Amino acid sequence: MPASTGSSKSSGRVRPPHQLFAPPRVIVDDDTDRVLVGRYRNGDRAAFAEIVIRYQRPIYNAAFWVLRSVEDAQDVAQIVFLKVAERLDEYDGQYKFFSWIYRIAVNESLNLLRRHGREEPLDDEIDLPDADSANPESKLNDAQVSKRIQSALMTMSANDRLVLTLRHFSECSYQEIAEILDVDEKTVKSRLFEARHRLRDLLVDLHQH
Amino acid sequence: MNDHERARLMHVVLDGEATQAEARELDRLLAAEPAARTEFEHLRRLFDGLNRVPKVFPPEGLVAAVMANIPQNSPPQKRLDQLSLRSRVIGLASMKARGKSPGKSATDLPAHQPAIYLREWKMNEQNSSLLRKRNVWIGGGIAIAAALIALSYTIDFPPGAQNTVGTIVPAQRYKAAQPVIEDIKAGGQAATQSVPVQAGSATNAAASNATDRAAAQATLQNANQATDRAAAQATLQNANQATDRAAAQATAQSANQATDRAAAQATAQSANQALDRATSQAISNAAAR
Repeated sequence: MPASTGSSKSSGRVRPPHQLFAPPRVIVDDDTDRVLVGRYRNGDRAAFAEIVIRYQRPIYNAAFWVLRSVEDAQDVAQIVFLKVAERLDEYDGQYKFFSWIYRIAVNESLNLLRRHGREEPLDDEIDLPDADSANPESKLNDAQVSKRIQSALMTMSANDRLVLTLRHFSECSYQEIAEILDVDEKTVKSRLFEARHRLRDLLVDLHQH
Repeated sequence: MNDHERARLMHVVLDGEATQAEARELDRLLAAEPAARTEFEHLRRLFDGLNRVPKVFPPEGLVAAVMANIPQNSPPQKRLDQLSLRSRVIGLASMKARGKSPGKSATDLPAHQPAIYLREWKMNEQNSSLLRKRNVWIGGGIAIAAALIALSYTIDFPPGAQNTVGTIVPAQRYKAAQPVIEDIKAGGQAATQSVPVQAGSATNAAASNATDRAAAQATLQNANQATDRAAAQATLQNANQATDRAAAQATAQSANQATDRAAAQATAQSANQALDRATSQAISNAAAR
């Protein structure tokens, strides 16, 4: 029996089998963003605190996977939010707020990489998080696979890490990634394909089991 | 369809971005080609592995650290003197130098006021309003007292005119509009608990958010409490000053009234004495004649 690609439909798109029980997107409510932005523009500092709370995790994640450094990711996250506060009057409400803040985060992360001169190979092994799994038997295997993937990601180029982070960790759609990176969807599709192809080459032994 | 196109189709389907037609096409391919099924299973494992990579948690205190660096007058359009933008620096300096329009003197209005000053300015505005009201009351009281004094000498009403005193208006505490964090609730016990940095679960995310909310709320509460204390102190000072002024004025009025009464009495006594003396003199004269 052939493997099914799934038949559930959402907005003309087909949800893949692996996403049937996928966790909700990190960012889901753009209306809430608009309300918070409006409140902050009217002088409500608590609204900005709420924006930081909503976005600290995805912004920090994106920065971490691009920079591969906890300290650098923390610095970039702070810079991003300060720039957002400073430039909020430049934000155009017709675009998604999360695309705008993500673009700032991506630019800041890449700028920091450039300031470092070039991407240095990692000297020390980074303490990567463990994968969650409800099944104890599969937990070990899942954890091993997860560690392998994370280690492989750390050796990839910043552009590959960036596009894979936006798609798989930030769960952005092709269109959202295109908005963040200011490229068209076709380019996003191509970059993702190439990045995964290179990742598979790094994980060739995983496919032999 | 060549291998490359087939692989791209698999990626699009696994990304959840395929149309119904693309999904049907892949189903047909998988049914027809065992090699495609193997390829698809490998890709699915890769996608599953990527999607299972745990999220990295930001360090605790990031929200508080960010909020500590956000200027008090947070609305960006009000921060005209934001120094990070060169055009604004030049624009603000030139605006101050030339004034709002050619030919007019420059006005050195503060374009930037921290929120605490903004709140104080609002309170001062309210206080000046209260001050104006108080002056009206005091002035009115003086006028009424003067009228009553004048009446007491003409129609001797009311009989107990010496009991008339000025009216002290009870001061009302002004409470500035408080910024309310509707969505930020104190995290209670959970908010104070340490959150593992890389727990990778929704529970930890919620706890982390609760901690951040509590920290942000504490920061805002401290600022609000300081402002409230300053407002209460200013109100008390104003009330005390008003009371002192009213008391002093009442004392002065009473003294004046007493002096007036004494003078009138003295005059009346003198007149009576003179009348008595004149009467007795007339009687004496009549007796002598």
